[in-house]
Amino acid sequence: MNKVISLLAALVFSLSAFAGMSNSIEYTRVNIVGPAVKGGWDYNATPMSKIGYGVFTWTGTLKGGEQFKFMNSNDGWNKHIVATSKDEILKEGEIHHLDFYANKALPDMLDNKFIVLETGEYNLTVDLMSMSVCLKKAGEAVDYPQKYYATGSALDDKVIELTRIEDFEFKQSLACKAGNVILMDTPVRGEKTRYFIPVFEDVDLSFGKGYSSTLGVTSDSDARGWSVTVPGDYVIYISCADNNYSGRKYQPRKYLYIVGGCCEMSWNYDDGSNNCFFPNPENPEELVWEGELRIGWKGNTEPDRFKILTEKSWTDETYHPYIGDTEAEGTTYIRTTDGGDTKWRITRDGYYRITANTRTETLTTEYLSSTAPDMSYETMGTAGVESADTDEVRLVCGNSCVELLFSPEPLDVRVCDYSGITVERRNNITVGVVAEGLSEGIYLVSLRGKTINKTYKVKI
Amino acid sequence: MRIKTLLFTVLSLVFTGTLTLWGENNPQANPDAVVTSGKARFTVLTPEMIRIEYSDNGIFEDRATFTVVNRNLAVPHYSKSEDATFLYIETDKLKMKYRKGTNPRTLPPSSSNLSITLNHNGREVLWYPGKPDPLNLKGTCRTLDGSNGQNKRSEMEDGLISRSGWAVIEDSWTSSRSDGSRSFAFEPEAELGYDWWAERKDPHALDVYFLGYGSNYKKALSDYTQIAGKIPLPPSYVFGYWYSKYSSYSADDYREIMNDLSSNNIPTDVMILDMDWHWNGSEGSMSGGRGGWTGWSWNTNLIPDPKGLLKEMHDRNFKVALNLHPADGVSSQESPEFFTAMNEFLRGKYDVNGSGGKVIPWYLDYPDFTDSFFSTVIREHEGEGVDFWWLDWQQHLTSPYTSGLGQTFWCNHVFYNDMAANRPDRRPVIFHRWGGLGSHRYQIGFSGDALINFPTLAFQPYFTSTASNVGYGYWGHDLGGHAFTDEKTVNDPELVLRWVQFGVFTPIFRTHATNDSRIERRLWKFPNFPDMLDAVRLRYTLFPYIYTMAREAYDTGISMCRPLYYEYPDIEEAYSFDGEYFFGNDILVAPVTEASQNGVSTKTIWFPEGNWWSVATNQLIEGPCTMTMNFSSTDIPYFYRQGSIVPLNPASVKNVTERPGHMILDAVAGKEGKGSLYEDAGDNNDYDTAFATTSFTQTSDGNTHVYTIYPRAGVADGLPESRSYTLRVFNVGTPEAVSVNGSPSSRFSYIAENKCAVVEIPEGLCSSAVTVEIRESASGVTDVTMSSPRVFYDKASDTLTAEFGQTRKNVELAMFDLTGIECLSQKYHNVSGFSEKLSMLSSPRLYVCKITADSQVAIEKIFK
Repeated sequence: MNKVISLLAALVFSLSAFAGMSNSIEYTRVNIVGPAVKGGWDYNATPMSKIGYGVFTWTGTLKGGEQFKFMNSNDGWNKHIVATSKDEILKEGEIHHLDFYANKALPDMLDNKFIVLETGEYNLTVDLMSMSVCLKKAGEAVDYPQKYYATGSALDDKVIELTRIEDFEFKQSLACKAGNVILMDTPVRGEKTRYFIPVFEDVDLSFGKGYSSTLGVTSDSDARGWSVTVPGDYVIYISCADNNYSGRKYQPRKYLYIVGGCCEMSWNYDDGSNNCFFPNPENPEELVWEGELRIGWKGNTEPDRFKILTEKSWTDETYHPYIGDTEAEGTTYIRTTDGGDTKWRITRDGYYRITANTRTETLTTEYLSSTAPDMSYETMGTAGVESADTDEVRLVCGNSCVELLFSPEPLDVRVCDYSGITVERRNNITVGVVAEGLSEGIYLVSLRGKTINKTYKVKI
Repeated sequence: MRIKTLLFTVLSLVFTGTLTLWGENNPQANPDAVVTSGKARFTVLTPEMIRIEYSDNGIFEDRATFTVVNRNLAVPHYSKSEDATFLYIETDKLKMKYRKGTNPRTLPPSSSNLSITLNHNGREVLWYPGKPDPLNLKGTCRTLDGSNGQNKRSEMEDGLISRSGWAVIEDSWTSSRSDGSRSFAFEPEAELGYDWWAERKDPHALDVYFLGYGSNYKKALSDYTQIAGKIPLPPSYVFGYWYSKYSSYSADDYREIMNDLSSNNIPTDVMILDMDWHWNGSEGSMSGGRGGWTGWSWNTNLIPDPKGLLKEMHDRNFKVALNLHPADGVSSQESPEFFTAMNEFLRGKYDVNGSGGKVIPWYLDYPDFTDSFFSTVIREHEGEGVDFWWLDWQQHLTSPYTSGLGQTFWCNHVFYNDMAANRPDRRPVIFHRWGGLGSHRYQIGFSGDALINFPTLAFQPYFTSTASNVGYGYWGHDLGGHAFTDEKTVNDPELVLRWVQFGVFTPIFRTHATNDSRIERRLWKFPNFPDMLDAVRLRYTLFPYIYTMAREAYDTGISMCRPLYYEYPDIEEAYSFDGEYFFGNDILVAPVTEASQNGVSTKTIWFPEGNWWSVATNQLIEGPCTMTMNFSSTDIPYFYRQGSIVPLNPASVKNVTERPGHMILDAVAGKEGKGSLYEDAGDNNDYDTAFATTSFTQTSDGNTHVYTIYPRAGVADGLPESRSYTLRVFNVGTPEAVSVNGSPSSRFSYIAENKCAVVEIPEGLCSSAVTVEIRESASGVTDVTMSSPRVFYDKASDTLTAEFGQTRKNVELAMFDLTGIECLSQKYHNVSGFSEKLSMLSSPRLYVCKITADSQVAIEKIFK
């Protein structure tokens, strides 16, 4: 029996072997195609929104009596999600099964479509985990509030008004214990209070990143809202444009990376020479970068702009300003949610200190000087010198070594690592190797003599 | 074949569904565990686990599936009730409510038709079909191909445990796995002698298992192996060192490698022949255009006498595995003899003609192809001496012929069970990738092509231990990394050393890299080879403990690399310090995965409750605490649990298959504890019953410590009748007296540096108990390292405060600015803490604060 089924399948499926997921369903995207939708057979015209793992939704007009089906992935006309019978009438509130075929020439006998009997505004939900679809009449448009208030047992029933960042989004840090969080549109519960609820009842407060999860609304004061299982600090976001909710449990970051046309290494994140932020030891919510930014460095693209990566990758979370080309100097909000590949902009060359607060999601950019500042007393950044010729001292740092080439007077030379621990020290010298075999990193080299008292920050 | 078929048929009559070769499983649940309500069926499997089925046609699945092979568990206590609208099922842990006559899964998902509630951490938790869970603790992913830093973290599939208190096994045919494959049913295949895939009875039916284990993660995993099959015990040789490198090695190259391994005293158990053993089409490997990525015939230009070479390897105690990329089938050009034989066997079936009569495509979906392939190709190579196969599937992830049949999973199933069925003289093992839930039955795994850099190494401790959340407890990594990242790291001795040191504490210990002449994987070519050799030897020393933990994984479902939260689910650090893990019951490991600074690696380590003996630094660390420690390049941060007794090999062991007559027991004194040693014949298939264990206990009463080695229980081939031991007891003072079996002994010594008493126990029968008593001198246990001083800086009062938790004789405070200039220096005597105003220091500025409390040093930075 298996052989018969399989040989039949062999006829149905393409016989050629494709790499990767070529034969497989993918949970990344579903499009609606067919004359029942406005986009017709345009493959990309009617995408569904992904609201959960394998779950997609769409709201719009379906023409009565016209066909439609679903296409999966962006692999052209290969992956079909179809009805189990020809011209299957999709009835409101009923769950209908779906079949999947990977076949660039799907036979008509398998290429089953859905139809609805009456033209109308509908909401379709497709669940690829259960291979099913459900049709409902579209609800009335929700009038979303200008202010949200969070409360619930996870907040000890305190009421917190969410911070609104202009017309972009609401963003709020919440210190939660185990319990639930409720969003409402009045600071005090009352008869007219509306409660805003997640797509998935009682889902964890940290759910939503990467999904389209438009807030629902109810007048039911018993609605469970969001669940908090793990106590801790959370940040929640609601976009003003589409009322999408997402949340996260706050975790301090260990590293951030600056990339941009105004950076020495341009958009190259892999070169770790001078693009890494380091945690502020006194405040784990802050990471600090110091160094030189220059407009048009080496002819880089987007010469005056930068953004921040959270990993050495283009696909992990990235930090942007809310508005493209926001002037960097001063304190600006960081956008971690969707909103385009916007960048910060500098207006002058020089040395900067940039402090990113990952809890408040703010970026503070300070212009330090037009030339390399004396780093000895004022800064904790990573900019530095590779040689120094001030005060007639010649110091060379590189090749894992710090060497004093010349000094007009005897010096005590000390090399410290970034934590302040002395790595090497030589006293009373005018020339000579001070430290060898240094591993890559930032070091502080202090020179102390009768008249010379300098410290250099150097990069090995 | 007839006997096998007969046996299989008889057994198939016994079991209505699947037959597995590692034990008896019955997919048919006890009827008393089943509650049917219309088109829905519920099976109460444990107090925490309920299977939920729904079929529009009322057709339910009683056969084994790719994920679940056994449902015949003891029926737990539960109650059933119903009213006009709902059916209620209540176990000791779960309350289920089902709206009768409905599909439990609504669209969008909601609790309106079915919900389960449980108590988790003192509050009621709600679940319903389709509820998302962002708190799932994850499992593993198919491969680390392309792994670079943390980039594979987002690809990890959901595991079987969650901080939400619940997890779900989606076993509906509709629920695609991450590679797009699906969970088929199994049916007996008489000719081949093992189960074959079959269509699900109702492919649209709902079939999910709800696991509501709260924080009892270990029980969840253990119960999972009750329904999904045990984690088999691999043959012992796989736990030794594997030499592996993709290169066009000739037979003489292999001989030279074996000679070098031997002359450099590198213990080794497995030799890997990567894909250039066969014709690969490359001029560089003297294939002269013959063959390609897939191949089945020896490249006799490189290896003229394969059988002879494999015999030489066996004579030197190597087991041998060959790499396979099966996807392109069997070609008449690369393997004309195999092609002809198979084509005759198959009578030209399938689309041989479609390829112009040159290729038999890879039709592993079908039993006749499979029978032909294994009996023709695989049997011949096994006859030449191939011990097991390295399956390296990299092409289309699901079959082009059978919708949803996962190539990875199916190759695992077929190759593993073929070996089980056809090589009964040995224990089945394959070397392949994760193919979704159920893959834990087909060990072991190779993780694939990770990049060579520290951030990628740093991901692997988390990845390896987290895979235990789906029972996939035998990942073997390309130690040293696989693919070139940059010139700086490609052969960085420190990076390779740290990777090898990490590998000591992973299930499989195999160095490897791709065919890139820039990459060196011969350890003896590195300037720090002595350090690497120490790590390899440590692996061989640890083998008895490792093998014991492997057996425990078979018995309990808890794999040897374990996330900290298995033991400490309520502690946040158990989740956040995810680069640490338990290696078996008694060893905490925190691998160094970052480059050192000036030869020193600084690592902040969380220690759970209890005391931990730092082997590298010879100190007892009192948990819970977070401690920043410094390690030299030869230091490996691993820590024995106080009270543990860890069985070890002596340094003389060259192969893990040896059964030495002398062993070492490492114990950490100060707390009652126990340990055990598991032994069997090493490669026997009947290890379920043919094995032996030796138990150890320790007790402490003041300055007297008693260690007992119990008589060996059970029988296994090849074990010595008698044994001597070296007992090394850490965390003790100088022994005053030692007795063995009540008689005073003078055969002991004391290593002050390690705080270690060493007692030689003379050879005795393993069937007899041995008791060792150590009486310390009155001074007792040497110092316990308290948790690091707690240092606070209060900006408002501009005050620095330090607390030590106990009185310290001499305390020094020194503060430096970032230039290294000392700004403040204070001394204190006989204090348990201090507070110091810092108003004399200018601000804003960063300061480094160094506090020396007796011999303990703490460094903190403050921003004033």
